[in-house]
Amino acid sequence: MNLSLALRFALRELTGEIRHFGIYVLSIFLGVAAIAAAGSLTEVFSNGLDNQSRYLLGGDLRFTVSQRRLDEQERAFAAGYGDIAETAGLNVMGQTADVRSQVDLVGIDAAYPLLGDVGLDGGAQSLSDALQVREGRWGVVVSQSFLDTFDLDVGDSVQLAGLDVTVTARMVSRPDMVQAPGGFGPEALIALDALLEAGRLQPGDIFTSRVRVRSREPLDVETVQRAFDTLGVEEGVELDGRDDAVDGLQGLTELLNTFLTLIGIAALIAGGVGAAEAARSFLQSRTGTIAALKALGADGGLIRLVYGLQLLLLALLGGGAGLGLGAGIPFILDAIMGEALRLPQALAIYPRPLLEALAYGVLIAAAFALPPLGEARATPPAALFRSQVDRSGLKRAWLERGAAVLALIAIVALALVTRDDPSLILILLGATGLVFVLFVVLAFVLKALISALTGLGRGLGRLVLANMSGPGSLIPTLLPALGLGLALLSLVVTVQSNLLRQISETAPSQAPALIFTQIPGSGVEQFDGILSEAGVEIGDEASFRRGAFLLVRLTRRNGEEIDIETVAEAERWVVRNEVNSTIMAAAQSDIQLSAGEWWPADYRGPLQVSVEAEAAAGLGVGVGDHLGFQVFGRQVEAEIASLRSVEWGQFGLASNTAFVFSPGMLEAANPAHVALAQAGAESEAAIIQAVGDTFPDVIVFQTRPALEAAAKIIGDLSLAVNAAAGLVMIAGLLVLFSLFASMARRRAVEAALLKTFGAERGMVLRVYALEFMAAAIIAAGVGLGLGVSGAWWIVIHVFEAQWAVPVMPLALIAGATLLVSGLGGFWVGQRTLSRPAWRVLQG
Amino acid sequence: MTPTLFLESVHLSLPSRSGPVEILRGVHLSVEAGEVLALVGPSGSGKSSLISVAAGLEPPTAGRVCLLGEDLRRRSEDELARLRRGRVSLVFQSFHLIPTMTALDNVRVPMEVAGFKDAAARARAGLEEVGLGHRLRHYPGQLSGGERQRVAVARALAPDPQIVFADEPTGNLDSQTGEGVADRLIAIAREKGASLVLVTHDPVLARRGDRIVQMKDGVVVS
Repeated sequence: MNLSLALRFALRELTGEIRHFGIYVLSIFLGVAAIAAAGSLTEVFSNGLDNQSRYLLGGDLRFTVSQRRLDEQERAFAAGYGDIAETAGLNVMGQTADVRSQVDLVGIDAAYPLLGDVGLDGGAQSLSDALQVREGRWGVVVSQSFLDTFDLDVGDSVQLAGLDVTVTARMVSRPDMVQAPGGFGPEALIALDALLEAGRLQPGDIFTSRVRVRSREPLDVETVQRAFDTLGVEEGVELDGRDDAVDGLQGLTELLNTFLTLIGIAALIAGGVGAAEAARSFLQSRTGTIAALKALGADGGLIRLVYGLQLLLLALLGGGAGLGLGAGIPFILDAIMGEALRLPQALAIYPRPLLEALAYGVLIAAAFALPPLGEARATPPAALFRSQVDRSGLKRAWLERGAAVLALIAIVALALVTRDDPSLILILLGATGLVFVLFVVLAFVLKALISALTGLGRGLGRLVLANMSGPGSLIPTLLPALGLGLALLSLVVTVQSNLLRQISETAPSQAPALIFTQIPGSGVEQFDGILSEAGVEIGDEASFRRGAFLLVRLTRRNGEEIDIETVAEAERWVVRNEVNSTIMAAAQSDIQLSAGEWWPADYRGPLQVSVEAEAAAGLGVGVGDHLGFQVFGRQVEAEIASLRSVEWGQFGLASNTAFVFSPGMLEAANPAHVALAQAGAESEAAIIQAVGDTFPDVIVFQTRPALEAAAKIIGDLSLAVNAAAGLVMIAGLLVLFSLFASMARRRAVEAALLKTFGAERGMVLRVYALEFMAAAIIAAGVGLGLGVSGAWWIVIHVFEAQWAVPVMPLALIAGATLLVSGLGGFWVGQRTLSRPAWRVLQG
Repeated sequence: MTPTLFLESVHLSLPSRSGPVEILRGVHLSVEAGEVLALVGPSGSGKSSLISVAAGLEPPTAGRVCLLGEDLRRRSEDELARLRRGRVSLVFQSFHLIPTMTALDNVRVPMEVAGFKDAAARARAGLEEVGLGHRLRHYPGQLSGGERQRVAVARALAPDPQIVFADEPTGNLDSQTGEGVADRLIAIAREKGASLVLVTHDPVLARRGDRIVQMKDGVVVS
């Protein structure tokens, strides 16, 4: 009975008043749309990846081993589970008459690919046809970047890994890769037999061999792993299943979801301030109606139900529209980006993330709108006889306030229930909430501070200060809404700007321009001579470093087999894979010891090792402990002599490796060397050519193209990420615009009065422009300050990159905010002055 | 001697959906310096509109208005605003205090706009004069109706204006409070030698003026 009556009252009033709720509905719409889009995109990609995981792995099982192929026993084991295909990936140098450059070469057998097809274009129609020998030359299919690097067309010849080959087709896709082939450099597929014939797959050579299995029945990777372990074969074979193939990508989609959900929640919180204002302003305008209803016998419960239902219906209206947009975003993205969106997708409407988004929207609306609802419910009937409402009703609104707190708790509970790993979203939610509360507290402190300063102001300046500190001040609304948007936008922009700068400026100046690998140990002096002749200052440690190159696998710790579970997660990479390392006599200039001592330059005693400090901490070892490594096919023990602090990516042999070994024992194996050289962009080609003439097998990596490619990817991403972060800003601006509109209404009488006092139009316009700009300056100062501080922490502690304040983008954000606010204030002034003063004052 | 206010054949018509409405139809009126003039008449007779035209807030459709010896014709809105500064004050039926400002600030603002150096001291004195020396820091929302109108009276008289227009200043107050406010308004205006144009429905209040002018249907009838 009560409910149907309340619903009837609610709908009756709502139809006439819905236009007052534009900001309330829009705020909820924006936030829910962002969260719904985040959840929908995650489902689309995550399901797409699941569907494609078999293709991305290239089968149901994958065996990976370095520097050797699977032996007969291992191959037979793999073949026992189904059809198998073998590939071998290696870095080689490609050579035409004019160009010499590094190439990712993958040798494939006739069975590859087990699933899907390699997409070819502009030449041979089938892969087997493309890779055959014709006129004594093997055929290769290559990426577009390969054709660009060597300036070749299909049908041209090129030398690869010492073989004369013919490009028979352009490769446009590979079923086991998400990105386009050659995303980071030239890539080519060749017959495995060609590499075997050229003797490039000898045990000990640097290559990665993979054997994939297409099973006839479902496989449990752990069961297979246990069976494989019982073979008692050599260590170093890694076994992956379908889930492993998409693990990294699933992590990426999870991160995307978390980021976009945060954006949505922040937009809801920023917009929530506007929603609360809209609700409060509407409910205050209803004082007379509420008092009349109460005088006619309506109790507080009915009032709560009538206006609560109105607010709920409007939240559902905004939320419902947001769901429509959010659910449609994956389809819109697919239509716009099409092929450019390389992640596998499973386009569909997923109800779960939509319901989750709506729940967030309704809960945040409740948290913000319930307190004003409580005030309205507590309106006494006596308000009919007094123009001034008794504000003590606020104190009696404990029920609604309690419900608002419950809504906030429910938001946290929702995050806990719906996330597999809620810790990140909870931290972000907590941080956003904290920043918001900080802004609210700051707003009250600032109001009090400005109030104290008001007496010091003069003329219209004091009017501005009085308006900012008195009842109806825009600071408590503007500061949290705009400040939160500005904080998040400036944080994202600053982090991105620092990362881009790191990749496009800092890294190229600090990373070596050229990296030479597989320099024969017997030819190092000749190699040095060639580089010296080509203009590299080999005596200068800042321009040239060379040292032995070892691929080692860490297996033991103080005599015990290492259980990977006992290693800190961030440092497991030193155990999971073979890692690069080097031998060094005297400590080079980039080495910074944090513990222990460096061995003497002429040291020839038992093997010692210098370990990167964070890796040592992750392993739980220190100076004096022993580590066991597998190197050159044998097990060696080394005592930790020192720990090093490493700034990764700097110019130095020790700066890019976790382990540096003492000279002596390992040198006896005469390992290949690796060298780093700084060179001007113009001389790189000549150096590569000169080395290639004498050492055709030395692989040269140029870092410049890879850094440029990475910078381009981050650059492309920044637009999308900035646009997402900008959503919170839009929510903040929405609140700002609603303030403009409500201030124009509220200040009409004030402006008319000022005119009667003798104030000119210009004066009134200046007062309002100044008032809004001053509030925006405070919001911008605090928002940008918090955003930049957060960004500093992320850049220094998470990305461990160099820090710089991106003055220009931040100035643009601040400038645009001030301009919009100033113009808004000016508009408020214009609106207030648009009616003759007398008519305004006469009501 | 030049009258403080002089209206000659003033017409005012305002647009409406059913065509222009004639509000004032040829009003002649003169107010001398220091004179307290009561303007009476039924609702809709044009009393308030007459004040708006006389104070330069609404331009007449025809006729001549001279305020403080200045002809208001062909004056821009800003010129009229400058003319009012510190010399013309208004008191409204619904008080119209600025809600974001304290009582002291409300009284101070017009004098600051007019560039008074001693605005604060005058505002304080003005509020004390109307018996609100203890309510200087209160916001309008914290004052009773009578107190709010007393602040409005202080705001109107603190600059020592040459003329005050008061539009039903006691209309929103009970009779006892209204009487108190009117007493102060008239007393202070006389004390400062300001002309006072007092629109009222209250015959008792009207009789306290030096002269009563009756309006009906947009014209002065007596």
